[in-house]
Amino acid sequence: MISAVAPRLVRTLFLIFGVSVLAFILMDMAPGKYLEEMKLNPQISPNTLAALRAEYGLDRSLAARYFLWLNSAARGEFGFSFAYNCPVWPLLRVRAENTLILTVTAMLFSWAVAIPIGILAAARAGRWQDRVSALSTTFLLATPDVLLGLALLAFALHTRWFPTGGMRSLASSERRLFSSAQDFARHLFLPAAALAMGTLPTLIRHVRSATLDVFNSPFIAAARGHGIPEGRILIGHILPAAANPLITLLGVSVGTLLSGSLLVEVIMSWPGVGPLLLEAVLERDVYIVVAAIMFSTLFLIAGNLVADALLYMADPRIRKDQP
Amino acid sequence: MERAWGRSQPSIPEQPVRHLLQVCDLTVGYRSRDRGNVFALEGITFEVAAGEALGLLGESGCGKTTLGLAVLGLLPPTGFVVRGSAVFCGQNLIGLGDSELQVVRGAGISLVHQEPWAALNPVLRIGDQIAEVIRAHARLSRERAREEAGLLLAQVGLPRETFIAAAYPHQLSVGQKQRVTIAQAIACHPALVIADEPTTALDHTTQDEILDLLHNLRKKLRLALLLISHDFSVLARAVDRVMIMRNGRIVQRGTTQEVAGNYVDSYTQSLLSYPASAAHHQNPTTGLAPWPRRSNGHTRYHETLQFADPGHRDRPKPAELASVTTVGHLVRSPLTPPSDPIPCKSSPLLFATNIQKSYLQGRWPSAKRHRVDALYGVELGVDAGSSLAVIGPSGSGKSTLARCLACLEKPDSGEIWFGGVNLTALADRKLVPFRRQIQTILQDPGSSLNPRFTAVELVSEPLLVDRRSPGQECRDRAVDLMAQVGLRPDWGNRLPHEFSAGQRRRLAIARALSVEPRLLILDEALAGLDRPIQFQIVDLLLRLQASLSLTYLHISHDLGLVTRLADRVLVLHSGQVVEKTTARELLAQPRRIQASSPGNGTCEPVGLGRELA
Repeated sequence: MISAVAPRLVRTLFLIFGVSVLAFILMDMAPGKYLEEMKLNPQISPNTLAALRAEYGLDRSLAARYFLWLNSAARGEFGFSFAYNCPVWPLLRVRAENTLILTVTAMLFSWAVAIPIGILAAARAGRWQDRVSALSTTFLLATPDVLLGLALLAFALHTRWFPTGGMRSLASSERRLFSSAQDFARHLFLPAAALAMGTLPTLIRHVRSATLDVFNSPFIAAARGHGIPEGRILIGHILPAAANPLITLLGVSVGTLLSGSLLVEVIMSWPGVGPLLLEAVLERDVYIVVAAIMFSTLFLIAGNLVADALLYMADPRIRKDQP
Repeated sequence: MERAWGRSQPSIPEQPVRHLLQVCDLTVGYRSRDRGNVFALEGITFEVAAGEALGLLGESGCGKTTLGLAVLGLLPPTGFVVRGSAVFCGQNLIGLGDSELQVVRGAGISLVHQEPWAALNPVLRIGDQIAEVIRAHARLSRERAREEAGLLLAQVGLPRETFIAAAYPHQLSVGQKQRVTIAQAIACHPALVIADEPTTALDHTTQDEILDLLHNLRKKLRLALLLISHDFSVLARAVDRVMIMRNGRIVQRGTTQEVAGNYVDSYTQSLLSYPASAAHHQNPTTGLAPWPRRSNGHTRYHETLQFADPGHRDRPKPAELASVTTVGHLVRSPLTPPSDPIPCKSSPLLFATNIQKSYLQGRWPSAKRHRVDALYGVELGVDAGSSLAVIGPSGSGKSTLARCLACLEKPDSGEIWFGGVNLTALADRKLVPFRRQIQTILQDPGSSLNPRFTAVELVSEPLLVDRRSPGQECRDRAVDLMAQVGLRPDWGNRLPHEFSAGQRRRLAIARALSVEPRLLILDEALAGLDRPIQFQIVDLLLRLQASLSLTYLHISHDLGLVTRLADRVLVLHSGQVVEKTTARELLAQPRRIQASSPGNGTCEPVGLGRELA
């Protein structure tokens, strides 16, 4: 086990290093710098600007800045935000938590819906259940996420059932635990639904095709021939055999947990990483962008590692040649 | 081992007490996209008495498998019962709902599936798969069912049952998998077992063991058996009554002696006259196995299968080739390669030295692993234009050797030289040109064909990859090749699952031949085919060898075929070469294999010699 994991870890470290270097270089190549807008302001003297540049370390070379950033990453700060005038990590941490609440909810929801629907579509392949599912997934797939978000917002405005933005009502901190949780759930519903509906069609189709392959396999025919009840065949025989491609898909979807919700967060004004990142990119608040990229990368790698570990557990054929 | 039953000693009373299963006028059709409805079975009527063993004989694709499926309501969505009934214990099974049939399936009538490698779920442990069957029909705790499964494994002759129960299907040999499917079939004490080609995929030793096993279980558990096969010698050993099926109809029925004695038509004759064991049906005066003659009444079978190639009739009758198995008489047709054991051509096309390959096995996640040596110091050489056969019982490492030689797997140590190049030292990328020259036909024809490709696409794909000729030309050539291996050209647009198991095998052979390889590795490529088709393909292979100076490496357990195809023979046992000999010597002294094989376990290759004795 260790000998299988060790080379992967080394590769992962190289990958993270490469991504951070690339993020730095690309941000540096992008036109515009953080203090450039201040040059236009006649009330700020060039001397003040130069002092600010020196204070933020912007007058140093790219390599020097990279090592400064590494140093600060080692201290757990991951750089310094010019706009917020504080280290990046505390800023990003709160936002990342909010994003994760949103994306994990959406992911659980979409998997919970996609697996039964996908299996149903496979079990009734070619019949009306399958056609309805194919039609609706095609419809969802063809609808842009922005439109989906806007439609949900319009729905919320029209019915007044759900708040149209934010994470908590103003008075929610004064309420008791249960009602504040209720308030939070009401805020969470719309963005989570928008996000889930974006990923749902792909998931349903994957579940359907993975299960359909197994449905038609001889060993399922054999299991039927042994008189095993249909429900038991589905849970005990088809699902384990169909798990392989789905687990791989799960790994990828874990990877997008931190970065996949950017658009929805901005539209629904969810205080996650998305709005912060957008703001930082527009203002050239370099270190926030780099840190956000780094955390997305980490999630992607972690997601794939989790998927591989799950695959290793779920599919004995993969374990075959492992020492 | 002396057989307790046989044609001379029918073990079942002559007058059956009552009918267990009564099938009447059963007609089954398949909906087909381009040909409308096709009837797979027409007016099938027969009955099975309790405890009786009935055989069903027929060529591949004649509807044998459909019969078992139709009785149990397991037809694929395209199949449907047109009319007829199947009364089992007073209940008509045709038209019953799934929930009512579930009680019968497995507990009343159980099915041993045709392809044991495909009939087991690849991600579940063997023990659990048997326990599942038990729990489907009996209220037992999971633990109790597992214990029962262990007992069943011991009952079907799988030693070390705890190890087997914890293993996954890919860790077992084909013979072991077949035993597991039998364990599943008898798990709930059914009254009738329908065994669909249970021995087809197995070598003769294992085949004998499985037949013994079925017989013993039948006696012990008072089972009735419906044995489906294309091999008369299998049926002759295991059943009392035989029905012969052709094109979905039963054309003849009777006791095994009656059927063996007089053939109703040339078709039956063609099935019976290619015995698995050459000793059974050869002409005593000439020593030649009879070749079926064409008769006016039944020409279709011959036209589609035997004479697919118009030039066929001018060439020597395959009876001359067939005579090679005859003990003591070695008559070679002009087309066969020289029988000289040491051909004059010097440098071998392929030679391998000291090939070793081992696998690690263990129960995950426990860290305990033990090493299984699949190959241990194997050496071999094949001269250009000659044929080498590697024979041995199942589990002796034959397939591993084939995979190593075809560069599909890297051996742990040892060298493989092909045409003066050391393949083991080459990087994967540099192996690419050699992959075209070494073509492999694998044991399992079903899973080596992409299910989404049509027949023509499958056969022409290697040509298209090669980019030597335009697409249309490739397709034409593919159709030619299909005709050469006895597949109708107008089947070109069929998908693999629309072919029978035997036809899929021929498709795989056509695909391997398409790129005109120098070395063809045939890993049990003929196993499981009807004898007439086997001999036809043997004939084809020999013709191709003569015209294209092909080199063959045959991996087989079938001595009768091997001696027809190969000059030299290598006997493999437990991953080691135990004997190097020539086909001629092997035929003269078949017992030598037995003597030279180490160990005296159940899987020693006694059966290899037995069929010629």
